Amino acid sequence: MPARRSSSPCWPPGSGSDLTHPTYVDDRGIHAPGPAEVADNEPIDILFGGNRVWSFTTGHDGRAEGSGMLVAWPAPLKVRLDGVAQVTVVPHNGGDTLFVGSVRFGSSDKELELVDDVGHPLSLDKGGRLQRTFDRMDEAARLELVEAARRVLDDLTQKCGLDAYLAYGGLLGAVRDGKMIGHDSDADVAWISRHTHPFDIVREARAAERTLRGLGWSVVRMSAANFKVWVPLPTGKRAGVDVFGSFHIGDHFHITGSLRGVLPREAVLPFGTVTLEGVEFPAPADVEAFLAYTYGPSWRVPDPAFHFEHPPENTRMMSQWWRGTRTRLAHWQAFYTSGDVKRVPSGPSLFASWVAGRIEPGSRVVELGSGTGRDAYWLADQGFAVTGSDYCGAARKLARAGSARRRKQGKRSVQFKGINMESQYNVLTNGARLAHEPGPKHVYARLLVDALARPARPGLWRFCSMAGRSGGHTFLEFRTAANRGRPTFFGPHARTYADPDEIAAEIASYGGRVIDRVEGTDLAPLGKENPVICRMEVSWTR
Amino acid sequence: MRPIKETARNMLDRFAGPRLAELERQVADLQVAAEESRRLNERLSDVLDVVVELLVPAVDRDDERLKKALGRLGKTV
Repeated sequence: MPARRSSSPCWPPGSGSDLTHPTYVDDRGIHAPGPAEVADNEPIDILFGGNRVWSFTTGHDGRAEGSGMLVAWPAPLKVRLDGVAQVTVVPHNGGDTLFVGSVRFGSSDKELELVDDVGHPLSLDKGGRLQRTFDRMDEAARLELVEAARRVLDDLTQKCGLDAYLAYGGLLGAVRDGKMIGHDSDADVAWISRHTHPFDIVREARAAERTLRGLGWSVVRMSAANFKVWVPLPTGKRAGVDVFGSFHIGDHFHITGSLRGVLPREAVLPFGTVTLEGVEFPAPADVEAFLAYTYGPSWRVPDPAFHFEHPPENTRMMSQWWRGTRTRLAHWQAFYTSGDVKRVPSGPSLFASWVAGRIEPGSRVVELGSGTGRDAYWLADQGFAVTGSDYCGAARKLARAGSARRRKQGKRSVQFKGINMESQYNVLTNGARLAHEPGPKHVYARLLVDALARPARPGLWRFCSMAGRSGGHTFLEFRTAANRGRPTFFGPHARTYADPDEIAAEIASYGGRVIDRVEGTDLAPLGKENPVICRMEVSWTR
Repeated sequence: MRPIKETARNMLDRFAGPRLAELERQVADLQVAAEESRRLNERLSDVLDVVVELLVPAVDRDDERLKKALGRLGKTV
């Protein structure tokens, strides 16, 4: 069951006038009174021009600064802050307004508009994404979304044979007042598995994905036990209906993402019904117990700043069961959608020219972990037949946009694929396809060993050995174990500092042979970081 | 006289220290084993998907050859 914040008095207790540190808003965030004067669990709304754009609590989102507190803008919002807005800061559940005023963000004098491509106002949802939330939709648009969720649920029940029900925010809204929660942005459904072993649950989820695809739905796997179904809407937009696996394993009830706690099967089955926006849905047998399990005992109190605070051991267990192909992905998604990506050099790495001098002109190169595509573009410009790839969707989007710009400039475009070394399925199918192509294929992987968690390396060696059967070599560049604990250009995050001898031994166990190995500094300097680098050229047994 | 807390710590280190260190090592090993075991479900499912997807078209194309291959596989597994 998720841990909840403790209760404490309201911010402000009566009026804002007696506070020693008044609230104000600027480019950095919301400057609030000091911790002693602020209730850390009170959800506070930020409105631009009367539209709610975000909600926070100082307990979750604030940090002490001087005699007051700073609630910094979340990155997805910060990048859009350029212009002038009429800003209001007000407690979500009633109370005195804490700040009202015109604020100029960045350098623009234009009115700041947080809208999507067709002009719908946006706000930050619970997943930290700028979305069109339900409080910004008219009744007809809300009904479209809810009916879409119902169509998906019907197919899960009738075509996939699953016991499906309304879950998460949709269930909460239905039980509270029959309406979608204003600060929510999607309608979620779940199924309760008849199985109690993870392997059977994975098979069940995949069978449902296949069935839905066969019916014409667009389905995206989010983990081995939950997926998203994209539903086209009459407006021409599309809505994502998330489908979550739920199951009993051992004594515990689980719902993907990472909910784990005690809830008897009788609290879920047999289903009752609830009504959401006038549409009837199957619902857990004991909805109150189910919502207390999901959101904690204060589930009745509206909280737009709600965050799940799963115990780390729950998240770890659920990640190991279902998210084995998504290790470190959240970091890379955030990186490739943040301003940090602009600090990546646009020109090629030194490694690219090292490799270019070792392979036949015009030969086929597959880059794994191509990121922004900087090396793939350069290799393409040198006349190589390059395909880029990355397991991170945000990186692929960025690289494809770069490739489209290049095409307009008359340069060679590069194709970027989703290849994931953590997915055996992905490795085997892409590896087999590549092996089937005639002629040698070289694999280029710069800083991929650093990015991969150790359990993903067998997938990398398997892929490289399949690609290398027709004579192509594998080129690796990675930071060695000598760099552990040293500062890095992009700051600390999960990295693997591999021992070159260990890498060579792993390669040998997959039939590879290191035919050249270079180690030292000045091979990949970036800013003040000049790491100890290992480069390897590997050939494979045919 | 040494503080009682320090004395107790020293006694713990002398008598229970090696055992605690051994237990910590065993817990770390078990965590790695549990993680490997949990990840195996998805990986095995991946392989099963590939095998099924390859087998079906293979069966359609050359039944006799496939039967022979499966026969060989049956002898070695």
